Amino acid sequence: MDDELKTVVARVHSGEEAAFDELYHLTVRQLYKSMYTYLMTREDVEDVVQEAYMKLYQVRRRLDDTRSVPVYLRTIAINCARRKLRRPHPATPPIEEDDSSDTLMVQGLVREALQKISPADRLVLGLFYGDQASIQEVCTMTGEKEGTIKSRLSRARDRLREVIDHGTK
Amino acid sequence: MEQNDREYRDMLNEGLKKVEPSDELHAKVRGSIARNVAHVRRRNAALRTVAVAIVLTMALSSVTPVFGRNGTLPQVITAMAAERQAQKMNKKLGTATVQQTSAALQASAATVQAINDSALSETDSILALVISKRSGKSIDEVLALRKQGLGWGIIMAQLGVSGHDIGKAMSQAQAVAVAGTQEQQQEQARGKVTVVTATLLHIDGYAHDIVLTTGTKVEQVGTGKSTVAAIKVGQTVQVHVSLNGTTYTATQVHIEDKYVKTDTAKNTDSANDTQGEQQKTSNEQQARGKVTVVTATLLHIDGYAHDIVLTTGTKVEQVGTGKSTVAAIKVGQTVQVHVSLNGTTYTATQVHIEDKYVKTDKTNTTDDEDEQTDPSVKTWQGTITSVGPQTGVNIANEPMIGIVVLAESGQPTIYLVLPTSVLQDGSHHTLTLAALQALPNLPTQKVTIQGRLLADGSVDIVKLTVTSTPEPTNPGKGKDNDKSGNN
Repeated sequence: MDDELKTVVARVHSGEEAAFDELYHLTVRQLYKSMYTYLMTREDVEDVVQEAYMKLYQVRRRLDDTRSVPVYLRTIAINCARRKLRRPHPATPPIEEDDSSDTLMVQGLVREALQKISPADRLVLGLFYGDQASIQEVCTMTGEKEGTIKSRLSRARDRLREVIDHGTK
Repeated sequence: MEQNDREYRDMLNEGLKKVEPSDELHAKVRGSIARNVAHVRRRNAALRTVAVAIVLTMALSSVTPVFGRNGTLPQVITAMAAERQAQKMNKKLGTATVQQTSAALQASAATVQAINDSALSETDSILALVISKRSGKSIDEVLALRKQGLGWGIIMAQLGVSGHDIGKAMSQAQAVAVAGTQEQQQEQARGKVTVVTATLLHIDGYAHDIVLTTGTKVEQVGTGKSTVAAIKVGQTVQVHVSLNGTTYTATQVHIEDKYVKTDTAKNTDSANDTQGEQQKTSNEQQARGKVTVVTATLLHIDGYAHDIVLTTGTKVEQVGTGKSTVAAIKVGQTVQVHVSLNGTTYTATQVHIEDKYVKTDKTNTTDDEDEQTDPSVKTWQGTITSVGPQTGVNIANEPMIGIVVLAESGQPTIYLVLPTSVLQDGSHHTLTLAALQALPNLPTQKVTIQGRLLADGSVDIVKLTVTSTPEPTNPGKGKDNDKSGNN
């Protein structure tokens, strides 16, 4: 995956238009999940993802294969998402059901639990567990200090555990 | 911990298992990228159009006066640069900008006045002077073009003056102005005012127009500090002039005519109230002439009938040094003295030494004599035995008009009366030789003589004061009388 990504980034850097599509397909799934953890609505996530790839496209000639493109992409997306969250927004986004008949109990619980956590804590949780980024990478992407990240992570974990164990109140 | 981490990761992955980007998202991303590319292309095209328009406008404006009376674009740019330089100079030179500039460009005072009287700003005035100088045209011609509404750029083009010329002229003007302030010369003028405006003064007998500025100090006898408005045609004034290039600027104007309050003019006009007239209130007079006698406390000047008392409150100033002390007053100097008359005492409130201050060579002043007095003048006291006219010359070949003989032994006997000798009675009224001769009880009259001892043992009289004549109506308060104690 990493080697493939490096090759694709090198092709994007050299100006190959099709390589950008390949880069999109290689990175979009993980980005989408991270942003969903943060924003919790598909509509917002799609907006943010579009904006993030558009900005990545603008700087594609300046990308180099040594740079961690996924981290860079997430940093752009997080900034876009933060701007989105600053705008007037429904207090609690509705829980979106993908397939009500087949939805497992745990999926419903997890998403319900995520709703109970603050967006900033959710973001850290999504990056650390969903994207499997290191604490250092999370610091880079969010621009927050290590101590803050750790305390957010701890708080999000406790809340998640609490909701899963006792159900929502 | 690792176990827990895995548990959380699995939990989250399970929870978000169905969260996947839709197939349309790629199309949406591509769509937004395409829109952005198109937007960037449009923006770049617009910027290119604007750039091309600017280039074309500049190209067009360099040959066509697209800016109307301001001329072509290069002319407008030149004018802006020239105005900026003029502003810079205006700032640098402060309030006397036009004068300083005209001095640097050797413009006449009349030109300065003409441009001052015009409605131009200081910056425009500077520019007009510089353009006039560089083009060789008169200031009136430059101003006429400006009055037509033409911009400086087009005026410069018409008169063949380039921006480079202006820059060069400004640099020269600044250099001259700076040098001028460093090497300002001072001189003095005195005479009757023939012309006076708010900014210009001309006095009879002085060849130059004198510029009055806000920094010009004005004072008048009888009122002290005053303003330029107090200067009137016909008044006698003494002006300290600062010469900078060809500009003569008044630093100080002293109005010698007494201040007269308009509604009580008749009551206060007491210009001739000297000669022992008793007055209850103090009065001011002015005297000017050569110093004939000076001590630490007494001053006598040629042509002024009274001894003038110098006090610690007497202000002394001298050309070339400003504030000074009584010690600076020397015999032979021309001084102007403000005298305050109180009863019969004439006290100097201010002495202005018109002779320029000259630094004395220390090697020539090795003796311990008091520098406040003329060291060659000595004082003798005695009783007159005879007085009479005597023409001829003394040993120094100076003409003499009379002779006074004293009876005392151990001091000179013969005292020569010169045309410059001051003879006075106990009230400090001037006496002629004949009047001295006619004094009652002459052989017993006591006198104090200040004079210069000559090589042949005789004395040139500088001042002779009769000390034993009773003056019941107007007792003098001079120092000599105090010394003698023979009233």
